[in-house]
Amino acid sequence: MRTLLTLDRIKDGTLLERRRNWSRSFTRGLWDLLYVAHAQLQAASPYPCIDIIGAEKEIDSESQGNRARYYKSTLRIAAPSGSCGASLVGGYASINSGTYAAKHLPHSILPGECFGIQVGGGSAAVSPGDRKLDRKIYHGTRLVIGATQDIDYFDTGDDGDIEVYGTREYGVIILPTRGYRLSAVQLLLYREGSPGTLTVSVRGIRFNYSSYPQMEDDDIVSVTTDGDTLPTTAPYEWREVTFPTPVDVQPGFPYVIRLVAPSGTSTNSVHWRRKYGAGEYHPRYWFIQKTNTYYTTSYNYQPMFRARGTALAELEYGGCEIFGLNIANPNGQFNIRRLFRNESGGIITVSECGIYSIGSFRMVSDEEAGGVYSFCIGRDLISPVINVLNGEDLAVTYTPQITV
Amino acid sequence: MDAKVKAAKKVGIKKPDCELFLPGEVGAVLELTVKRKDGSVREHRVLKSKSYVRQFLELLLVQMNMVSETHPMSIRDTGNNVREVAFSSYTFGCNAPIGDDIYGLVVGSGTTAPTIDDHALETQIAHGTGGGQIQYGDVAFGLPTATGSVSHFTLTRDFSNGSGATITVNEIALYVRALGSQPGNYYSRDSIWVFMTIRDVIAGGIDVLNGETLTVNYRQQATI
Repeated sequence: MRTLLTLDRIKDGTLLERRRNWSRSFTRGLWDLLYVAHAQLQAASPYPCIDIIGAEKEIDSESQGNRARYYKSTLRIAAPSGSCGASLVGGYASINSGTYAAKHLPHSILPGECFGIQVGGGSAAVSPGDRKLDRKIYHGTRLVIGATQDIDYFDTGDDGDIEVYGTREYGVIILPTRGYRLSAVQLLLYREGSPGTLTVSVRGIRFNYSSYPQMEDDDIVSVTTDGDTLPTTAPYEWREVTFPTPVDVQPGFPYVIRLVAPSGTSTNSVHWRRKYGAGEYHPRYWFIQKTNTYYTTSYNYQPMFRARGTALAELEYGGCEIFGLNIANPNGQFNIRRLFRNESGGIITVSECGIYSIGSFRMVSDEEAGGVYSFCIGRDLISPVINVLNGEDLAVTYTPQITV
Repeated sequence: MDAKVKAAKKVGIKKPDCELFLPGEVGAVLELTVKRKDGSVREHRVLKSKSYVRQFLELLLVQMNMVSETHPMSIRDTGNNVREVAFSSYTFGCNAPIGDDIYGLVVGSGTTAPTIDDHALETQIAHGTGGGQIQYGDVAFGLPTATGSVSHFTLTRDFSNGSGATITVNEIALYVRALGSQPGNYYSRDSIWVFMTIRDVIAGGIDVLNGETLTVNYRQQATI
């Protein structure tokens, strides 16, 4: 099977430029998803693979029950437009006796831009092990953010603190609505005694139905800082740490910015300033605590943080459609197409494209719960690059073809 | 004047899987190994699988497009029946157990060249130890991996000949499962159908003598 890649630049319905080449794109992610489908892996023995946020996710082919069509969204790439939520099923639940429907968990509804055809501004050579675009152009109409600035943040009104030491880990969960490249974070901290070296890391989050969300076991990125140089009193310090490699924050997926003081004790600790919201919580930032292996979260506590980064100018993602199945011996093909509109006010340079697809999981501990993640199954470099002017559309079409 | 031809001596590593595929191509490498009773290899072939057939594209579209049961796709199954198929957790399942010749990797004796419209082996060799039968092992899987310019994973199945005579395998296929669409009957659990996604005809066939085992490896791969 070979795949034609067609790139059309369009203005007011007029084709301005067309390029057509063989795609060189399919990557290991395609085989990860097809393997899970072929082998019919069950939830008790799932397959771990790396999703687009860079975290290891376990997916399977099991769906619960004997009624709800054995729903599973694995391999789906047809997508609604950029911010339109798609309910993608990993399990199902009983609403009441005799009525069954998909269970909506945070991991079951993704914005359309998280799967289907993608475009980006990166230039890294394509590798069969690619897990995401080098630098995705996210959905929207925002202009470029060229200089590092605060993008996700909650930094006013602190009225207390949370104490971090040893096995008492804390973090702030963020659920970004816009994509960006996270390069540094600032946390409002002070110390008690000598807490030693602190680790600040970014991790993914996993949800289930009946208990608190949990941090993934592995860091996407981490950095250390000297806790013994923090102040001991107000006005505290906005301690900034810069990650050794930036994190491409994908909208629609939750992350946690995690703080630990491994050698700290109850008298040699770091204090993270926070606001007690008394129920007036921020809808996309909240607090998570891990003590030994036990997790709790709260919407009432808002840790003081600033997530800093940059972003490329945005393109509006249309729906990703699949159409045109045509089979006539010895050939067969269909098309996968997505439109991207530039309403940013400037020129946007597109230098890569690819395909993200869905992988599903079901909770073993809660048989009615499940959800989905997004995986990169293909990536192509566009050379020379395409400049999409303000008001123009870019249509990207992949056409898989087989010949017997 | 006599022409003199002299071959240059050169030592290098051959990578047949890379040589077989064009950049950007998705396909399968078919590896056939025949082992004697004592485990020694009597024959080994590596060739490029040529023949994804229409059901592969159709099932891929069903999953990629999340085709619903209220607007299903009509796909011909291995029994030559057109079935209405919608997306499900079963699509592409081929984890057949030992002795199951209904799905998974399957073998046959037909020699007709493949066409894109083929829906089944021309003449399947059934599981068993009777005349003209071969014993099907279970389908095993190698984990996906990416190395150099290639990503791939492997399906494997053993076929043991206990029939008492030589069996010639001329065709090999991959049969996968998918769920039929029954929107008015979602209590039903018996609408799983089987579809052929790949069929290859082996030039000259491959003989499996009595007591020997044929191992079929389909390594599905993508080359960038």
